[in-house]
Amino acid sequence: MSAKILLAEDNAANRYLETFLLEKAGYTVIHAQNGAEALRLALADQPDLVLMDLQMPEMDGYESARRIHAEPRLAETPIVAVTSFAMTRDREKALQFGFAGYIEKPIRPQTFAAEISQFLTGKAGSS
Amino acid sequence: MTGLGVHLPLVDFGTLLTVYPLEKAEDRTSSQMLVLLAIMTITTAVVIILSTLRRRRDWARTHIREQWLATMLRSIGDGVVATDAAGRVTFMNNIAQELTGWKEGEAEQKPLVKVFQTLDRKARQPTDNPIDLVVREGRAITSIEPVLLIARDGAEHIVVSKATPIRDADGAVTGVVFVFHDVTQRELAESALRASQEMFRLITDHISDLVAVLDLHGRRLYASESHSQFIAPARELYLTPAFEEIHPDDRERLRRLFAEIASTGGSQRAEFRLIGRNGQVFCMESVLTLIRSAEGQAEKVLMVSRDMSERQRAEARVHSEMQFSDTLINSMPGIFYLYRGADRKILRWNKNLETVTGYRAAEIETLDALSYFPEEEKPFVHERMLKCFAEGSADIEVNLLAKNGRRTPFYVTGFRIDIDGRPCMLGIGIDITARLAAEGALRATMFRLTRQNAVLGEKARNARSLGAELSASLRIITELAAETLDVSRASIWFYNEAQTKICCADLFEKDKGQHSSGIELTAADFPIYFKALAEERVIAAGHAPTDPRTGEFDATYLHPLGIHSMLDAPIRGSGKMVGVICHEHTGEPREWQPDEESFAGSMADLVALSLEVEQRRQAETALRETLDNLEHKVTERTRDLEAANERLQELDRLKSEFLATMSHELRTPLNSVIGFTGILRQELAGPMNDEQKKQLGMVHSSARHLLNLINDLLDLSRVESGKMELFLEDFVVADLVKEIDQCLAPQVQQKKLRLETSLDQPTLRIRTDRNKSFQILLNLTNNAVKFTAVGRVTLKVTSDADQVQFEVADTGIGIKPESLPHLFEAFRQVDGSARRVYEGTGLGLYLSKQLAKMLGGNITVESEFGIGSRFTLVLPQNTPPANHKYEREDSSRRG
Repeated sequence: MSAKILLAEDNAANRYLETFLLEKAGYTVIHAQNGAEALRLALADQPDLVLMDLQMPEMDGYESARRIHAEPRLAETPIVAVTSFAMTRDREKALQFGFAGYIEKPIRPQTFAAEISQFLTGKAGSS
Repeated sequence: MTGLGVHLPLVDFGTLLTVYPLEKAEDRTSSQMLVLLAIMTITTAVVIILSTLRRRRDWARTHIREQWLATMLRSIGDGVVATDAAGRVTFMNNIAQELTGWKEGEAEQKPLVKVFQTLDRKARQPTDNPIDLVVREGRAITSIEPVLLIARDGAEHIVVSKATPIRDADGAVTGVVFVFHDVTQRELAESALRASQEMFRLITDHISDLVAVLDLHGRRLYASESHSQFIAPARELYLTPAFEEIHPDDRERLRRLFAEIASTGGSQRAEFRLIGRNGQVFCMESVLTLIRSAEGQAEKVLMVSRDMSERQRAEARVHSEMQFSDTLINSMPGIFYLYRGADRKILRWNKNLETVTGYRAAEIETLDALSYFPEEEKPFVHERMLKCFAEGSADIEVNLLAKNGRRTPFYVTGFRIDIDGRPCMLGIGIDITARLAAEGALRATMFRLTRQNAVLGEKARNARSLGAELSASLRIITELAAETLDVSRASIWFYNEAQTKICCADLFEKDKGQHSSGIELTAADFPIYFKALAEERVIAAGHAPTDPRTGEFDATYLHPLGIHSMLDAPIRGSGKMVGVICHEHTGEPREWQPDEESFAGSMADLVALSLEVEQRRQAETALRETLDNLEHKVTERTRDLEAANERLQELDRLKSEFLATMSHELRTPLNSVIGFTGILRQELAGPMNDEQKKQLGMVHSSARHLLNLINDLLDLSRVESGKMELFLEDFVVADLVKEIDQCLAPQVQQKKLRLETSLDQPTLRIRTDRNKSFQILLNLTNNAVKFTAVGRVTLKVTSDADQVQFEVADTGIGIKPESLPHLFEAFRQVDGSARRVYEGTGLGLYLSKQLAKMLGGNITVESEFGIGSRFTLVLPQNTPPANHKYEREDSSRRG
């Protein structure tokens, strides 16, 4: 599993956590700290998956995802939202914005990597 | 010969010249007798002479005598043939030679019968030879009947003859003298005569007229067969006096007339009555004509009479027919005339023609037919006449010009009829003065109506202008009324409240083109008028000053202003009197026409309408003002409400934001704690010793507990603020149950309990919020496991048509009865005293119940302290969309 994953997360601890787990699972991880950086890096490195935290400064996850998908080269790239959902509507919104799915925070370390792999194999689903 | 002339009758009914009298058979012989007498004389003379000659034998004298005799014989007009006793011809005179065609020399010694061939006239058979008879019997034989003598060449003559014996001195017959007389001419004439007599008889016997020949005494010598019809058969009338049958009153007159004719001659006509044999009276018309003899002597009178009865009857009929048609023609309402094209004269006409044209009968007889028309119309009339003659009929509207110059319009129809082969025209005409006048009146009315219609039409189009403002509308109405009805003044008056007077709202004077208002008329002053106003549909006073309804105004109003006619239409609205519209006409009084009255009525209606419009307008204005007010108030209120609403929404938004933020903020650190402790415990970051793992385990639990708290609090907050949203989806219940099982498996195993799940329908599906229903079930089963030390926990799922029941039963400690009511309250822990082993937030059941309610279901509990408890969650099969916002078709998984 040498897939490249772009992780967009503004919280350092979360970033560390998720990266640790993903690298442990054998993925290559690229970091972005906000939506704009995520867009830039996505264009540059063309990851196989984007893990997008929804609440980020400067450009939030929604906007960033939209822009990424607007790029022809990145239109098919799966973007998974990572968020602590408060409302049901957030779920719908995520789907409308073209996220392939979402993962709720706090994440479960035991299952995190497995869930990611599902998104990579193209299985439609959101947790 | 004697003077018995042979006359051929010349017959021309009208002028009868002479007629051969019809004789009886006996008379016929007289002429023959004379002829025979002549013959006998001659014969005797001849015999004497011959005897004398023979006795004397004096040939010298004899010769001379013979010569003389020969001469004599030659000279007489008859034929003489002498034969010997044997019948042989010895002598023929020249006549005999001529008639027989034999020369004496040739005939000599020939038998007489050869020379003298005779045939019976009718049978044409040879007649007997008289010679033998004469010789034998020694006497003369006379053939009385004329016979046919056939000459040698075939020519025929009609002769009569006598044969006489020649005796010698001793008396012996020595020969025969045959003398014959040519009566051809006579016979032919007699034949012709007979023929014409036959004809005459035929004619007279077959005509219906009575033909009679009278002698000079008035006795009938001949009567036609037609007499039998009237008087008696002809044969009975011979020698009867002709005047016997005549009516006594007429007889004398006839006799005198007859006598006159008999004496002076000529022909005359007379009428008399004839009494028929049956007593019938016949009216006869007779022509009497004198017939003269050849010498001019008055001889007979011819009387030809005709029954005039038939003719008289016919004449009478014609007369009465003519009288009838005369009466008819004269009683016709129009003019009648019969006009002859050839000379342009009027042959017959009725009295009306004389009356209308003013010409007398004598003048009409002579006048040319075109004289009855004005000069400028003559060509037209002439052309129509020609058309009539050409096509058989024609008609024309034309003026008839009377003698005094007066013209009268007529409608005349002509028919061609031919009389005596000459084209004539029968004309019938009627005076159309009245019709033209009526047509004129009709046209005038039509024009008026059209104009009125145009006015009303225009009014309808300008209806908006009427609605504008009342006084403007009234002005429009008065002007239009004055214009249309052609009156000098039009005014509109309204009653006051008390209906005691009318005030003029608008008065239009056409000549000045001015409007004014203000005049008042009090009912008390004009009671009759006001009464009429109340009662009548319209007051059409052609002669206003004298009309009782309007007469009250005469002195003060009509007379000073010169008003002669008024047309007033009361105005009524909603059933009561409102006012009146008046039209006043100066100048000659005029009779108001029905359409004008109707128009005035329409105008009155229009005023009523305008009033109504005005009232409406006022009402509308008031209404609008009120509405404006209301609107204003409403706007204010709305603004206030909006402001309030905005604030609420703001608050709400803030709340949402808070929750969202809280949710995020609170969970983020936990993410690290749980995450990292998990990694460490899994020895993903390196090996751990048991003590480390144990301690990390405690941290992990605490973090989990904290997370639960946070979740519950957030849920509670959402529920409280109504921000909890449902996400309905359709899923298989068994999957949910399996997840619960998996979730609790560790705990169950650890506590060495049994968790039994069962479903009555393995394929059962439910439509509800999956996450929440999971949450509830997890809460219940978790509680069951938590509060059970030993034994088992069962999760039983049953369903019916509408609901799904989840029954969670345990063999735990149960719940005390006094705790049951408070079980589902927030922040209550059952037995919160020493048994802290039962961890929880105290929110679980409360939330569960809230959530269950949100999903349209409920949670109930049964418990026995010390034995166990049973919690039942009931959810509808199809969650009603109460406060849901989102739905999804396919199931979703909670990871």
